[in-house]
Amino acid sequence: MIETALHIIRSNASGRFGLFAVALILAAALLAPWIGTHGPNAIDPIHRLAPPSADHWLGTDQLGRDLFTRLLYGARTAIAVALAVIALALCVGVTLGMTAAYLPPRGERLILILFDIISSFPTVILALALVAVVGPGFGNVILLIAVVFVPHFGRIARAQTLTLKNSPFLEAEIVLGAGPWRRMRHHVLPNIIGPIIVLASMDIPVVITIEAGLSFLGLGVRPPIASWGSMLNDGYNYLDQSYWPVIASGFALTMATLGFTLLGEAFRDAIDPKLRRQP
Amino acid sequence: MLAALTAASPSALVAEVRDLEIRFGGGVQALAGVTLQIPAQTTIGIVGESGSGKTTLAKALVGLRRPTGGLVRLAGRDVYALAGGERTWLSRQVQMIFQDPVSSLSPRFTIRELLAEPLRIHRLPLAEHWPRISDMLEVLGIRKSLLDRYPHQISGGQARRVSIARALVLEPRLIVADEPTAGLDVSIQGELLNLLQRVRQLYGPSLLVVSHNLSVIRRITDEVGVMYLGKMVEYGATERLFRTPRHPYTEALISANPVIDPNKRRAKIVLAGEIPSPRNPPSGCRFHTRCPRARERCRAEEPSLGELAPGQLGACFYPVPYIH
Amino acid sequence: MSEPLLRIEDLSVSFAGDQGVVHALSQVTLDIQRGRIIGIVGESGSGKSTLALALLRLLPGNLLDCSGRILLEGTDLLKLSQAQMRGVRGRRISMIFQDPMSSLNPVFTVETHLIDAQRASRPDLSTSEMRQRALEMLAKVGIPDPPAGLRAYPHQLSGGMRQRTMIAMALLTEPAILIADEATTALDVTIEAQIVALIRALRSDYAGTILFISHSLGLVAELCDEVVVMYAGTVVESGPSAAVFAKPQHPYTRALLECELDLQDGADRFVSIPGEVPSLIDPPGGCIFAPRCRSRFDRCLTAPPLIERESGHRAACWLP
Repeated sequence: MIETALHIIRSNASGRFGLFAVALILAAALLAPWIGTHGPNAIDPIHRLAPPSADHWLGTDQLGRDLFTRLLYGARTAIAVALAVIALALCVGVTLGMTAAYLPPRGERLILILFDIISSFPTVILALALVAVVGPGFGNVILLIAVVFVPHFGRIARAQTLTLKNSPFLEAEIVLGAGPWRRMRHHVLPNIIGPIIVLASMDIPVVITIEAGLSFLGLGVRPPIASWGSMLNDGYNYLDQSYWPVIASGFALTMATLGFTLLGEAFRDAIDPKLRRQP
Repeated sequence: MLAALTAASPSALVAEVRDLEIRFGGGVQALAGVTLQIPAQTTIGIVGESGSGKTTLAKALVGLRRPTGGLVRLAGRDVYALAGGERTWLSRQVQMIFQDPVSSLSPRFTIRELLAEPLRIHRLPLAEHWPRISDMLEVLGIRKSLLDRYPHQISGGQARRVSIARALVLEPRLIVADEPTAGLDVSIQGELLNLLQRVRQLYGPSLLVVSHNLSVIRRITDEVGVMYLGKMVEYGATERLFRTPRHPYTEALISANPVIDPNKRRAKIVLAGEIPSPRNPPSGCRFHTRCPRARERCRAEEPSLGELAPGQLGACFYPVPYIH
Repeated sequence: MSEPLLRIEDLSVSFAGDQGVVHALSQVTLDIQRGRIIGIVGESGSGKSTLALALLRLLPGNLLDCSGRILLEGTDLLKLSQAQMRGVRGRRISMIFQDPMSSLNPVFTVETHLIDAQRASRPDLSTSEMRQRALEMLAKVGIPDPPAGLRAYPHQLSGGMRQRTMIAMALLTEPAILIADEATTALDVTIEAQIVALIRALRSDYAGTILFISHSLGLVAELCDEVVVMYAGTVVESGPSAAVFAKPQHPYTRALLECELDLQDGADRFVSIPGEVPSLIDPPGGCIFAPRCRSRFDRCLTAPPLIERESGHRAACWLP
């Protein structure tokens, strides 16, 4: 199935571009220590805000750190945050969603109200507010963005569980004596997780953008960890002296969000044409 | 019910349904007071058309439909008053063979896992798993080569055997079979019926067979109940009921069943009108809107199930005359 | 015998399947007379529905080959253009299906369906005349309140009423052939009996031929004048119902009848036909039933032709 999906993705132009961009970013993230021409935090006070050169391919930032290298490490941060957030939100959201579908009405309503409360705030504002409370940092950022995404996965999981709940094979399991947890874990989960993962992959670029946004505001990962958002912010402060930091990190962000979005859409269309968004 | 007539001791009953009433949301009255007793080692058939409530009755017996009135008892205990942990006890008393075998098997489990599932749920020692499963393969004629396939990869006939094996492996005292021959070609139907007979001989469970196939019911059951719009309209020993139906609905149902041999054909009774909606059942006798024998009384008053002939219960004021 | 209404000669149909070429019909030859009810019986995979769809040339898109001749009053349907074929469908040959909802548009009333059905075949009629015919037809097929029936939407009707509406729709164009493909299978027994009684009653008014496709031997025995028994894409036996059911000539028909519970004595074992329906992807050479046949012998390695045994009663078997 994966092979045919890849084939379909490659057969359309935006899918091909997405695949290429994502492959590039993943390679950058994985191979950063080997491709990087300098240390990510190696300061070179003499060559601050230098333009591209043979030594610094994309120039340097305000502390003289190599921009190319930091871009690679920024990819690491972006991917790590995105995957961790999605994984966490998926686990919590799907568990809550399935549980909601199996709880008596009162319990179900409680979980749904929780979801409504979370999603009634605009995504970024809520993340901002939460970070302001618990403080910035790699772990906190992951945790808080994950909270924002829980209702999204939770609602889908609940809806999918409800459609399965009365199917004959689950009734058969009840008659065999299987309790609700066993039914959820062994029989509901494997049947709903596929489409949810496809949808989750579409959220990767959104998470990357939120992380970059928080870091841009200084509420994301802490310096000196490289993040495209904080690089962009640093670049703005010294825009009158060098535009290279802004161009480099802005380009990376654009490639990442565009690449993941296009790949995600192509992937979804390939796996399940029915999920396609109406134009 | 007949068991009661013939004065079987109540302790010999595997299951008992008393005045069972089930209403669904939206005002659908699926069952409107049904009473049934299932003695040990007896095969009972339930026949009826859409809206008769026969499937709801089957599901209520295995604990899948909570009654809004009345009782379901298995081995003397109220099924719907069991503590949460006693679900496993219940599933050793009663099992079900579902109508569509493929969709009643969890789609992402292999046949091997599906067969082991009941044993795992009931925490049987691992050493017992394979001997029991291989017994089932043997008894039901499931090919070993299918064990690592998924339900959608095997034939309907094999899937049916797997679902019988899952019901049988816990050796319940009652097996409820919902339309066990639905969708089977005539040429292979016999195999499945032989299988059910074999299961009966080897394990001796009582069977409740729900079906619209009168020929099957006539051949494999000891007693049969005829349902119409949530009510039991006639009940009796199978052969007698088929030979001399007393309720006009039973008579019409039997006569509607096509017959190949022209010498055995009876005059057709074609019932007029539609089956009324169980949302809004007719007053009085529920069958009066279609009954060729209905009179004024049937519109106003509801007949109760009484003895219409020795060993034959029916709910009718003007039953079909008894012909020898 | 007069020129048959429909003559099917050597009709073979094959499809492209996942695992290879599926030979759904192999050299089907049949003559169908006017004004008869012909039962086509067979189990799943016998090709009975494919035969019906071939008559209408509505075979699915993975069709590989459709050869032979289908002569409707002398015209070979397989040679007609798509445009000419549209003139046959619904006018010369109508069909009703197991699930009437699949042929009724949920957003239109019964009236719209019944009037549209007539437009092409009866351009001479005004809308009010067509409406009048529709009302009469609804009454004829046993819809209790025809004016209300006209106003109804398909989802407001019960299964039996929908099937009656379908029959009305099919008959309004006065087709030469009405195909009923498992048209009563999804209905309750007492409702099925009503529809069968309706079909029987219609004979006095309807001059055409009815092809009644069913898996139920009992229904066919009760309703049909003639019966065609199909197995694995071939016709194994055909003839007058009474003769075929009383004295089946083909071992498959015989075996199938033995499986009928009503015809068995109360013995403890139930009869079934051992083995499985052969794969139509690579059907065995020779007689297609031979692998499951109790009486097979050397000659069965070559396929037997459909030979007339008695007047009108044919069987494809080498045994006398």
